[in-house]
Amino acid sequence: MYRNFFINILRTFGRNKFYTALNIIGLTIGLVCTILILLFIQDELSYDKYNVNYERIIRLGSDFTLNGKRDRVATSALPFGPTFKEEFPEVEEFVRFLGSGRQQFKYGDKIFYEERIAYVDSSVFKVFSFDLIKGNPDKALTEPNEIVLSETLAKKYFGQMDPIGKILLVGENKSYKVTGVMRDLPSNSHFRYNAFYSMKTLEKIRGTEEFNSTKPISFWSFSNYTFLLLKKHANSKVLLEKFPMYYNKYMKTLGDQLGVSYHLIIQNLADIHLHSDLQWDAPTGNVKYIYILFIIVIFILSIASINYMNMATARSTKIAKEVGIRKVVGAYRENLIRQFLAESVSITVFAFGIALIIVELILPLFNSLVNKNMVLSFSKTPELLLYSVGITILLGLISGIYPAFYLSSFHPSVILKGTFYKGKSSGLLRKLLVISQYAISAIMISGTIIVASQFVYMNNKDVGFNQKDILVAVVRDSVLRARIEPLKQELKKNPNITAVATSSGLIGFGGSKTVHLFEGTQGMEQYALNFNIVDFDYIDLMEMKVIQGRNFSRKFASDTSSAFIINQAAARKFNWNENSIGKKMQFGVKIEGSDGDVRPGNVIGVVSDFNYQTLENKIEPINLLVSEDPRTRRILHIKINPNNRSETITYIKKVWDKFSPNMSFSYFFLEDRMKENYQSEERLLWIFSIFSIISILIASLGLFGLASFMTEQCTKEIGVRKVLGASSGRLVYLLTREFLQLIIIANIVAIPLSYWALQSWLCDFSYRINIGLWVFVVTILSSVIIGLCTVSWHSYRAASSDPAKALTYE
Amino acid sequence: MIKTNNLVKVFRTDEVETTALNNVNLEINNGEFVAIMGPSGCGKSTLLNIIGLLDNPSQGELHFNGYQVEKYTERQRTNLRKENIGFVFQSFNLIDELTVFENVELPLLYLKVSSSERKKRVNEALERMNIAHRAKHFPQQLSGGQQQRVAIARAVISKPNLILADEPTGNLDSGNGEEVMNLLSQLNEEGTTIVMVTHSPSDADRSHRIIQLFDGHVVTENMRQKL
Repeated sequence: MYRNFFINILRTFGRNKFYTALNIIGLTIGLVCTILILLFIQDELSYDKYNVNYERIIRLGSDFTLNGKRDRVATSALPFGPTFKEEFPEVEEFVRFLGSGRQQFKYGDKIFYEERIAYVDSSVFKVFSFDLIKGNPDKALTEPNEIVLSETLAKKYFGQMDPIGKILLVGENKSYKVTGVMRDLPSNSHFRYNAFYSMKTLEKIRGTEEFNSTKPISFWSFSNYTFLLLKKHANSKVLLEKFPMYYNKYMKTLGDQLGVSYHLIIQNLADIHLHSDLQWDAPTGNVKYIYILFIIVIFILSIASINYMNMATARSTKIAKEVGIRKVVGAYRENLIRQFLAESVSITVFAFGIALIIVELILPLFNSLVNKNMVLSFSKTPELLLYSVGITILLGLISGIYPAFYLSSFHPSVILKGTFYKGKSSGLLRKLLVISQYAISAIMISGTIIVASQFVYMNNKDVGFNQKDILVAVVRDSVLRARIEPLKQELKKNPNITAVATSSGLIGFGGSKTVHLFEGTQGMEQYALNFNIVDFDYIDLMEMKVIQGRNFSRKFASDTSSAFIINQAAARKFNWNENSIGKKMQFGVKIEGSDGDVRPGNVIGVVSDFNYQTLENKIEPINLLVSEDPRTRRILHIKINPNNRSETITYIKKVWDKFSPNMSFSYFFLEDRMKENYQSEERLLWIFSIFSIISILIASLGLFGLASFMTEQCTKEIGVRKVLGASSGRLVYLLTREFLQLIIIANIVAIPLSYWALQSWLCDFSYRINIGLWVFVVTILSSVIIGLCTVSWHSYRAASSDPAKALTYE
Repeated sequence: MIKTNNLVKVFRTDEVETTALNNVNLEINNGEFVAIMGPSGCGKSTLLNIIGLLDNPSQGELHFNGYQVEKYTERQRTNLRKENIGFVFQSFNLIDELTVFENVELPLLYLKVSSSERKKRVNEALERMNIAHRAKHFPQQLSGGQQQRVAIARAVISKPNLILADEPTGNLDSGNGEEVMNLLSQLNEEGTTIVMVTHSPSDADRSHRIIQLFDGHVVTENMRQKL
């Protein structure tokens, strides 16, 4: 019985090569997309779970409100770790990570800049499953000036040598002893560190007493990530419940004084990658993209499945005879339903086989697109096999169920007499199916257009300053910082360098915030305000527009001590609006136990708003201060002529090396760095474009097959019309019209849906495009054009055929 | 074997109602060879379909082997049909995707006959129809006469006691037609009841009795003396 089943299926496929091929191609492409997306989703969901203790590891974050401004950050204060361990019996161990920024590493003649390094507690290897391949996990990082390198870094500096015990020079004059080499962190880790310094180093620099101080101010500086390993069966909720007691003990006095309200945030390690929406977090994934991808999978599979249904039911006149015969010789309806389902499942399983091969081939390409390192291994991830096989069989059953019930319902007496015509109901259903396919495609097309427009918009938006041709170098050498003015003069000698300026923070990336006092209606009020300390040339170099007052000027000696330039957002925030000039402000406030800088002064200018942070954030108020203090001259900006770029860069390097022989020159262009901010949007754009092209392709395959059937069935009608004098053009119109109607109805259905979906996606952006009517006009036009191209070939062929043949054939 | 009482069959589409059979009363006995004749559209095939349990009548009674079956469900009809009735059609109605052997084997599959038994019976039937050498061929590779012999082999494979033939020679040349009629006559002589719809007077001559239909009515029944 079953042998007969499968022989019959194979022969059916063989005899209908064209349609079988269309179906297999459609299903294969659909399954390739599914497997890739499943891999992607699985990888996203696996983040940080390589840690044996991941279910017991939590991170402490801070949620605080100061002057009505709420901030939720991923960091906490240095004393949190040790005091939590002390106060809460649930805590087994803590690890703190304190980022150190870019540093120059030197071993022998090997000098490179390295990023993603942190000071960590020596408990790191106990809490996390970082794989130490050389060194002793219990002893590494227990003493000051010890460093653990990633395998890659170890190879880079030491090659085949054993790095343990070697001394690495870091920065200008620090030396670190290598005490361990750890395997590179897996790609599904939210940590991206390349090396760890021992926390003891920091303790030594700051002094043991100062470093371990539990004075109130140290609880209010949220500078580091704190991770806690909880004891087995301990519940992190208990910490939240007990936290008020802790707060009262360590933080309340100063908190009340500052007028801050504070809440502890607890995140599970495994939730960080997808669910963290905190500031100052390591770059994280976005659970929304998982949902979007999931929807795309369903879309693409629906389209492929509808193709199958359409082609199977369109074939009904041919299949009907077989159904009739089988019923006459004694088949029950369920025998036939089983046969049709076996057919659809076999074809999907076959497509799945091909899809696996294709996935294996294109996975490297997909990996580079989504910046991942995934492998297709069913032995490592058996659940992936389970899911994909499950989806395949389900897809086969869903695709086959309607044709199976429809085709098996045919009445043998009607069929075998040769008077069988396809029922009207099947035609209607097929129309509905085509409409849903094209509606899905239309949603994908408009989605692609919107994501692309938003992306282009973010890349080209007037950010309030000119980011073009600005070369940025971070000055880490304190000697060089002190000699920045002579360096600037030397650079400016080159005619291709139009301006040079420094600032304390890098524009476009958020930055420092401190409490300011400003002149309010009832005297001086407090506000936590962003700030950037710049030099006299900065505002000109950035081409910011001064719209009230004046720019900083060396002519005014007081500018470096008491002048502020704010942005429009600040002027609005403080209700100064057009009358900001001369208003009193104070940078910083005196806090007991803090030696922070305090600078009272007046507003001398207002610049038009600029995006100090990325475009996902609304422009916040900011204060610019001018200073020639070497400590503030961290970021060097060099505006160059775009024409002689490489020569100019060579010149800058030469000058740099002359001024700072010990710290090598490294740079980036501001514009490139700004673009990196939108990587996740760029990735989404790619994914959207690729998958929407694919969905349109599969839908077109289906339409192509369907059109061929429909024109085949119209052969007689075409013949009669031709005999009666219809022109070929008229006939093409006649045959194409119905499909066009369906495509247009599909678009009408899709437009409100996609408008709603895209509008909610755009809501995440403070600066966003408006969805114009043109988007949908383009969508409709493109689906009509694609549909026309797909259908017209068959129509033309049928319309230009010989009518005599058609009529005798019938 | 078959008895009808005031059999009526009405076909309805959205706008048109057509009465295909109107109060047909007839009786066919075991071992008979009956020809049904009449002009196109007179209801011959409709009658054959109802007798063959492919369709239910709109009104009236139908008795088959002593059972009253006109209200049978599709499943009940299938059960009765697959054990008792074989069909031969004008257009052969073989499944193109199956070989000659597999086409003939088909009814046995639905009767759940064992594989070895199937093989034996199919080979016998093919030998008998003189088509065994074509067992592995597909229907399109055969001539019309050969295809009809395969169809007859399929009709007899389940050893039915009734064979319904709907213009079995309609698509054949005279030589092949003759051969097919010989086969049917031979089956009849072996005891199988045969009901055949035909336009051909010479084919009808082979029968014991001719039922003439006109506009859904039985107009005459002629007993023939077999030569």
